[in-house]
Amino acid sequence: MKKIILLVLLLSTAYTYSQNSELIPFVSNSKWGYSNRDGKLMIQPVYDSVGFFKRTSIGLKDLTFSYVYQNKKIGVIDAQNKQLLPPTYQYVKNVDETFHFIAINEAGKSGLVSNDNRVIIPFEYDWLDEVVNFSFILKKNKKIGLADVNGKIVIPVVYDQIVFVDEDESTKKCRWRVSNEKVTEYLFTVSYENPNSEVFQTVGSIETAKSNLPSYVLDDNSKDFEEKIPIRYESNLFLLRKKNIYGFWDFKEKIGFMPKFKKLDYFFNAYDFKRGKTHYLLIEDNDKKGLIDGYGNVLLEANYETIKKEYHYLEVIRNSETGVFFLSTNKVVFSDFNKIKTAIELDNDFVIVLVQNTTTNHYYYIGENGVLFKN
Amino acid sequence: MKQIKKILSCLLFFCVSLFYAQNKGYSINIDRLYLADESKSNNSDDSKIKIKFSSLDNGNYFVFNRLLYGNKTGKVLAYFKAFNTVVIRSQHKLSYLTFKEAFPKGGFYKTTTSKSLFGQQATLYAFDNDVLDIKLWVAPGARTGTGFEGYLNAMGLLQNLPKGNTIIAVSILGIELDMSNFKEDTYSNVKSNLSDVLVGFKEPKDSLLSCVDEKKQREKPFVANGEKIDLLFNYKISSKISLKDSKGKMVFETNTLVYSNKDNSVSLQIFDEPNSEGISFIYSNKNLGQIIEGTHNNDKLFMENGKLIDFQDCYILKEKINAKKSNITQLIAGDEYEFKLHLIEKNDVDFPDFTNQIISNGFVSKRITLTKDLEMQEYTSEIELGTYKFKLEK
Repeated sequence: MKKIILLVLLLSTAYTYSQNSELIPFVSNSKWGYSNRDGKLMIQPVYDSVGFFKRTSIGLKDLTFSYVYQNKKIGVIDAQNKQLLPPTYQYVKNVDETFHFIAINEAGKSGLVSNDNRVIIPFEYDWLDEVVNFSFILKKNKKIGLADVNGKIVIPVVYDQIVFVDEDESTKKCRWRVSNEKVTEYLFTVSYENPNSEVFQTVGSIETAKSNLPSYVLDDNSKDFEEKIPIRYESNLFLLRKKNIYGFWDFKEKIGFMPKFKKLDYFFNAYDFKRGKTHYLLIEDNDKKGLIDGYGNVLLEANYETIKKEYHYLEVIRNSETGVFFLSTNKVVFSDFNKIKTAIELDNDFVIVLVQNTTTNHYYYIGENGVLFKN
Repeated sequence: MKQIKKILSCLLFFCVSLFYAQNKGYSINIDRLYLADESKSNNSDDSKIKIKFSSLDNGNYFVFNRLLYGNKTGKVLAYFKAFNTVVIRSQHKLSYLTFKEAFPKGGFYKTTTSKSLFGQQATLYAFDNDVLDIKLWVAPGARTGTGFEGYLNAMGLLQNLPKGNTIIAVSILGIELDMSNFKEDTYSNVKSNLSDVLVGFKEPKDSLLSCVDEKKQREKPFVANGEKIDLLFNYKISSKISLKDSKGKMVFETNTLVYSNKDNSVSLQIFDEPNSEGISFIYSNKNLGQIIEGTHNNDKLFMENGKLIDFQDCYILKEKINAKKSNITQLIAGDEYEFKLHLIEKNDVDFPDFTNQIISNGFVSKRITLTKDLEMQEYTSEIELGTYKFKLEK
């Protein structure tokens, strides 16, 4: 029992294959390394390109690794910058819930290596891929076969077709239907006992939204407004008008504010467990747009030409410059980028965006905390 | 009690409906399949083995339906058992074939290839139609008569399999499948399963419509001139015409009476009652290009209106001999411009010069037509030889 509790504590995120937010790709003079979330360099930028760190586990053991690229070849490092696989491969892919990597060597042959670059399945196959029961389909000379997780050939490479049929729990055997031009038959292999299946998976306690204290309680007889204007498609939401100024009211969540903006348009809302429901409204002044929340707090002053909603962020343009507004932190960042490529949510909900300077063709990441992961 | 009766009649109706609507299909359901030939292994979006085999309306229709993928259109084969006709849609073209034409070797036929399947020596049976790359591995064993084997058997494609032999595996597009890989489904709608054949092609109607239009424009009114002529016919043809909807319900039924000369170039249709325009006969003379309509009193015909028309057919059905019995030839034919399947029984031995519209010479004793809405029109006729006289006042 003690063991299980320990495992639950240790492995609360062990199964997640999400990208690690502790080490974030950092670029310096076109070379990539990693920094922490605050931008402090942790792994020196020496690589041509890098991936995000990921974690894979076998029982109690886990491995945090990332793919790194050098001279158009791929290798693997761990979080301490220890080289696990040298950057000499054409292709590398971690096998889920193992420390094994499927790789293609410089000669174009596929094999399987461990996280210390030990060859498990020799590099002599035209193609190799993971399939059910932690097995590997091997292809050589237009025939296929099967190897087990330890690299042992369990079905010889002489068949045209292999089908996984079923697994017998009592005999712990997997049944495969194999066929070639001479024979079709059933073959049996030993079932793989996945150490991870003994470990219970759990999730961290969910921080539920703080209960929204009513910011504005509407009385229909109130003199605060003259007209309640329904917001299209949203039966609980209204704009409140008093003469030429506007407010907002969410009838269900009891969120709102008295009329105080000259021009107000409902934009969108978002919900997450931590922050609850957040409304975003656009304000306008002298043909410039700004952003407020459902409580009437100004998030962006009305001096933007464009505010465009994207997944996790808003793309904003001010004085013809492109900026990014993080919805998770309300931080707005401008720098020398002019194009936002994509947003990525790392583990612990940490959001970063990949940006590009199209003139110099340089890319870098910006965190939701406002840190530019470059120098 | 009333309630129970109601429930029982509902149950009965449900059972009867089920009986009448037995629509089954077999689709291929296979995962965790690994192939040495990677070109066959891409079994995702543009799946190459997305094929459905349907048996509809109690086995009246059989469909091999290779689902579409990408921009390509797979061939579709439908077997209309009552018509003994196989319709194949390839791209936008419909072909109507007799069963023998579609399956010249009787469906699956033995090859010299054999191998061991699950410890038994099995022989490969190839398929004699290129609509689908399908082969069977056959070995000694009891015929199941159910599942996919039952389907192929009901379709008549297993005539070459020796008794005491059964299908143990199927190879489709080079992928070997266990019989358990065929998933049985039931369908509620016959028409939607046949839609690829019935309506799923481009109808090349334009040339036909322009021909009809041109013929219409060439029509001229024919003015009565008081002429009185004697008409003499050799045949009296009594016909019965009926139309049933897709569920077999009678929509209408009527009888007609037509007199004709030997080559049917001159004919007279007599109605029991005048139609809504007061017309009770139609006289047509292909030699003179005349159609005259009017009223009649016994053997006296009074012209009301007439027109000069071009009798030339805008299209001719391509007929195929299905069977021959005594003087009767059974033919199948299909319209090219839209799905319309005809089963025709014709006596062209005793009536070699008897002309017809859109079909070749001979007296048509029976014609069954299936439309794209699965409506069925049936026409049966009897012919009597005699001397039939009428007087026409133009």
